[in-house]
Amino acid sequence: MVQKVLIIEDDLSLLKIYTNKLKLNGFEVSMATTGDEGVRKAKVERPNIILLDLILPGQDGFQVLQMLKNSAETNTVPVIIMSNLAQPSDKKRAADLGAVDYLVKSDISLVDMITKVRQYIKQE
Amino acid sequence: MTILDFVLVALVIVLGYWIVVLKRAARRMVQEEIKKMEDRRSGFVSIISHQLRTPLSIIKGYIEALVTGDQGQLNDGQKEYLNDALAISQDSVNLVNDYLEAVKMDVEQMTLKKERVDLVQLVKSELNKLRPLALASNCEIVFDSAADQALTASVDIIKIKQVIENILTNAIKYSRGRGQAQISLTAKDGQAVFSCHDAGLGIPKDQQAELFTKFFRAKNIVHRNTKGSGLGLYLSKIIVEAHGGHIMVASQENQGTTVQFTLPIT
Repeated sequence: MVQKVLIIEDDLSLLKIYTNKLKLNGFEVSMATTGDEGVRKAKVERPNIILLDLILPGQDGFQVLQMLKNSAETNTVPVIIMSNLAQPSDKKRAADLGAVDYLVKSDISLVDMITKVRQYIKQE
Repeated sequence: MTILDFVLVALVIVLGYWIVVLKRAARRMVQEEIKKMEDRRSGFVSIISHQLRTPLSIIKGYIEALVTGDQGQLNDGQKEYLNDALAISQDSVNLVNDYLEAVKMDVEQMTLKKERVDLVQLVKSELNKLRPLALASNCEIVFDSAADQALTASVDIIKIKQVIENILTNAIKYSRGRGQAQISLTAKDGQAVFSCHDAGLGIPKDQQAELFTKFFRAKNIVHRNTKGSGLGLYLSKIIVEAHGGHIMVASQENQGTTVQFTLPIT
């Protein structure tokens, strides 16, 4: 069965790069460029995993994460934070809100991203 | 005691009480103002991090996607060019990370998340991480741990890894193919002593006093166009001293450099 990844990311270049890499690795990909759209899609499409940016227009990634974890429809879906904020306080806040991992975009490779996605989907 | 005395004593007590209350309020206001200022600075660092890292992430992502054949197969020359571009973009990420770390240390008090760890294993894992860089630079890494058994210390693992990486990267970079980087880890007087010796360029004597200052790069290194932020030793000193240790450098130009740091063993 094809696994579905929802990416919530407002930077269109990164969205294109991540989406293409995930598709080439056999995943079905759904995209959202705002937090609201991401939460809506997560509830309707029931992805196997969510990649969530933190700096987003409107609701920020922390608020989105909280909404996902507070909803019975989405609270079991693993959420990986992918952000260029790299302060320990941001990482701690994300972990406290229930993110399974925190990847700093500039420090990871696309291969690392695929490895993490596979790892957390397998664990579910 | 007359009524006037009573009134005076009462006045003094009331006055004293209000002085204490006002002092506390003033102190609280100052503390709140400092906290607000720190939050603003910390927020500034966060936003700058994001703004600087995002374009680099995009450039890296596009190059990596091309190198791994996402847009079709490349010939060897194209791969070589793109791999060079990828390495340079990674260098830029490292520089930005160093600058941001330095700014952060200027605006925030360093907090250590200490965990007990075996330093021998920590050093070994960092050495393994840097072996590909050493290989590419024709530098052999030799590790001599006098402590065959574990050498346990309570440290912030990420930050101590950063120190080891800074020192080893310098040794590899500045060896410039001149043989070995000799690493040792020993225990002495309740301290773990990490030492790294290279037989590389060395640092001119008249510049050694500035080694731990921000953005310092020795002239003999700059002239050779070796990349670096000039922040590695500056950050390493702050981190080691925050752990209660010391860091020192002994160097002779064209002979080599030894960097040594200590950490209390727990």
